[in-house]
Amino acid sequence: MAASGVERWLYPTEKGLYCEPGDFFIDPSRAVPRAIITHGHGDHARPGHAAVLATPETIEIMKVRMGPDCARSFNAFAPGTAQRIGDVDVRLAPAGHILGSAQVVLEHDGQRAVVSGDYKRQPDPTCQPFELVPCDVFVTEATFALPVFRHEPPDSEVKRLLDSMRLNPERTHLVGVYGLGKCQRLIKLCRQAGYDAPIYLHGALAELTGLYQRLGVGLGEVRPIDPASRGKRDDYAGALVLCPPSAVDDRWSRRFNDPVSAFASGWMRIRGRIRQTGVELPLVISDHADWPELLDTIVATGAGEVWVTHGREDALVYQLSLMGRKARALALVGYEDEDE
Amino acid sequence: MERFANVLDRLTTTPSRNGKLALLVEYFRSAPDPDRGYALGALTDGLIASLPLRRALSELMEQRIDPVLYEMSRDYVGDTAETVSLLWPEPAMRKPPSSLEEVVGRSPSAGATRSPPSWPVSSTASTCADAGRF
Repeated sequence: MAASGVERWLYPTEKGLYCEPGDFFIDPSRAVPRAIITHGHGDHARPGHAAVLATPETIEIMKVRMGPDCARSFNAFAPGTAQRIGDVDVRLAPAGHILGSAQVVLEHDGQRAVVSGDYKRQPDPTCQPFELVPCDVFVTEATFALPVFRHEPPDSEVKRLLDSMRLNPERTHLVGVYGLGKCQRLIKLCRQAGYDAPIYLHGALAELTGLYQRLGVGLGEVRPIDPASRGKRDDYAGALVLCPPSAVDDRWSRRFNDPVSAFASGWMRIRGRIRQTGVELPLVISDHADWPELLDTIVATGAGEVWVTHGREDALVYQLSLMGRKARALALVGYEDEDE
Repeated sequence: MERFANVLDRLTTTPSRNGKLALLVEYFRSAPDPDRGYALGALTDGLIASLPLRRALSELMEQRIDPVLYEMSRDYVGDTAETVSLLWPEPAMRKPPSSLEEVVGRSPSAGATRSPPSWPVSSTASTCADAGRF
């Protein structure tokens, strides 16, 4: 099959994916002069770049997580607008992953490439939905690229959480969530399911949740866990408490009354992963596309060529070759599964 | 069937012994006969199905998924039965899940059968959610 020619102007380097005619990197793993950042998770947004181009929300998230000086200059780039950078037409399109997440749409020499960052197709009340952009080359993630991954509808998972709270009204429900995206989405999903009591947050989750609220995502009443509450176990009886996954089994969690431990993650589809985390109530809630969503999306873009960044590249590349599509793994360094 | 499957699932994720006992007490108190008898047999290894399960499962999957993808999935999940339960195509419409009695009655140990061994597995799997299939 003939090469698309895009790899002559967009290619992986040791610092990350580089667009030559625009002289910028996308989600580079090391400090570079010019970077376009798809979203605020730590493996995509790193400190030290001279100039960062990203959605206004992603810039705010970066400043909260890494400090206001984590890049020398920030350029807010609203989705829907277009810019010419060097010899490339660039625009951002929503990716549906977390607040502010965007795909980077690049046009050069009559060809269009879309770098999707991380994305999902399930509805998410805390961010704009994924926009499908037809293209010649689609650059996709592969976090959940195995046919065993089919995420449950988030509403039914939240119902299981709320049912468990009704059945165990004395017990604190302690849910491990990643601090950026999953935490705020789970709060919002609980609100949509009719849960209106205050939701309590571990200190590590407070700042980004506050930022979501400032940026207009209504989350109802959220309260920090009172650090002075140690020793009074009944303070949080029957309450919903969110914390980072590492805190579920930590000394920190001993202040709660016989807690039901839970973990909200796409990995909770697999029993081995459930046993590893040792939680009682696994919730399959994911901010990444599952196997059917990955394949449907790739087909719908009409891309003749698919580049796979990080995750289970081998299975996705194999499946795409069965489907007669040209696919290859980019083998970029520095990306992790950890934000799910 | 679904109910027993959910009890099994919750037994594996409930850490406390008293919690496990509460689950079992609740199940055996309210499940109908003869289902709870079969459940007791299954939990205490008293229920022996003469079904060549390993072979039957891999034969079933050959018709449903590419062998390379199956192997990759099996490697990742680490358990054949769970892999199959996760890979099983979702039926367009689920019938009400069958009782344990029905499932045990379908397996060859319960009497002579001329149907291939894979038949009871596939017909049951198609009516269950993934916990029930597992």
